This record gives sequence, C-alpha cells and structure tokens, in this order.
Amino acid sequence: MNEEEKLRQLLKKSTINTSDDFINNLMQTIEDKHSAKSPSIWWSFKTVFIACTALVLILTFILFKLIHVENGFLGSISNIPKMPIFLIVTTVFLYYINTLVKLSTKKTVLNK
Amino acid sequence: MSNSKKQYDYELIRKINEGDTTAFRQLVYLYKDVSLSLACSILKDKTIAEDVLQEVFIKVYAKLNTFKFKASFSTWLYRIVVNTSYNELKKQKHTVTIDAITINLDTQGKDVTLESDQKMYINLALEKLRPDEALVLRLFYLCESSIKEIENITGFKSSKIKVDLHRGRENMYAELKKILGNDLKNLL
Repeated sequence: MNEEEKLRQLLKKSTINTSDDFINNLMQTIEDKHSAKSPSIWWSFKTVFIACTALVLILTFILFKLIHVENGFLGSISNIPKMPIFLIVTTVFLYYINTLVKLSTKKTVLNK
Repeated sequence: MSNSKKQYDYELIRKINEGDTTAFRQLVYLYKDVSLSLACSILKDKTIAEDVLQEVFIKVYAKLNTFKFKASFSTWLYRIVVNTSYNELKKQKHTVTIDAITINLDTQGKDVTLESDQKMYINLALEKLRPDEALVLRLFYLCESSIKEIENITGFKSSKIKVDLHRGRENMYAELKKILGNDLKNLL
C-alpha cells in the first residue's frame, strides 16, 4: 500500500458521529419553526403599513375638513360631532402602531 | 461521486420539495457525520460544530427549493457547512485548543488495534492541524472531492489547496508520531 492509499485509509476513519438525538432535535426545531407560521399576505408588515397609513390619512383629512368647511359638499356633514371622529383616528393610529410593532417582532423571531 | 448516489440525492430532494419530511430525515442521516467532521476540522469543538450543523440543516431545509440540479448536492451542502463554520469561527474569535479537551496520553504502549482507538488518535492529530489543512485533508481523502470541487466548496485557490494538502499530510504524520511514538507503525 503506498503512502497516499495509507493516508486515505486513515482519514476514512476520521468521521465524527453526531449525538444520538441530533436528527430528532433538528426535526423538532424545523417543526417548531414551521408551526410558527409566517403571517398571511393580509397580515404582512407591508400590507398593514400601507392600509393603516391610508386609513389614518383619510380619517385625518375628513376630520380637518369637518373642522374647516362650513358649506359645500362636506358642509352638509359638518354637523357630525368631531369628537368621535377624533377618537376613531386616535384609536386607528394606536392600533396601527401596535400591529406594526407586533409584526416587526414576529418577523425578527421568524428570521432567527 | 457515483451517478446512482447523485440520482438518489436528487430523488430525495424532489420528495422534500413536495413536503416529505421523512426524505429530509434520510438526507440528513446520509450527510450528518461527514458534515460534522468538516465542521470540526474548522471549529475544533464538537459541541459548537453540532450547533453549527443544526443551523446548516435548517438553512438547507429552507433553501432546498433553490437548489440547482446541475451541481452535486454534497458540494452544495459542504459549501454551506464550510461557510457557516468559518463565520462561527470568526464570531468565536478563538478556537478551543485540543489540549483543553484531550485526555492525557502517554507516549508509549498504545493499543491501536481497536478501530475506535484508531479513530480517536486520528481525530486528535487532525484537531491539532490548522483549520484549513484539516478541512482540505478531510475533503480530499474522506469526501473524495477533487481539487476543483474543493475550490468550489472552500473558495480557496488550487495552489493553496495543494499547499494545504502537502503540509496537512506532513503535519498529520508529525502529530500522530507525537501521540503514538513508535506505535505509529501499528496504525499504518
């Protein structure tokens, strides 16, 4: 047997075996990751961001119009009390921030 | 790598991409030990290497649908193992030296007839080598990769691979000589 062949035979014995539960642990980790399903398109960070921004902008626009416009198209609905609209805008805005923080956290966990 | 082995791998990958987790289990079973040996060549610590390997197989599972069937799966997998291990090594900023985890070995009267003992001495010698040398030796002799494949896996130039192979062989024999003394001839 030449030197090269001897070395080949030696190194064939250098395989290191994984621990017994290696595959089970791996499959468990994969299953766990899989069960922490990624959010659907409707609950993705981008969609929520765009939808909520649009909603807040529309509501703010309506609120300002209600404050300033006395007559014209929006004048007819200026009798609607402004306080509930203000509360809706604030609630939507807070919900928006809350959802974005949650989605951002979930995204970070899934990426780990 | 034989064509039948390649075909078998491709068949497993196809099944995994269809959602068969048992096929993934089989694929891991086929490659886990050699992959761990490669990771240990770089990291010199079995526990850290196993953690890295878990990370590697999770990556593989997630990215298997991007695997191009042009190359062999083993080359693709070993490249991920090597890259992830070197990244981990950079993070660790230090390597656990073998002296810290090695049992105290006398230089005379070793029983090198048992395969488990032979394996231990060979691995001890390999762990004393530089990561690049141990990695190239294992890729060349254990995985039977060609120089071209080693280039693809490690990103090293062929000249470096040849130098590492040459130095690796010499250093490995030197380490085995240190560990086994005159009993080395019984091992060969």
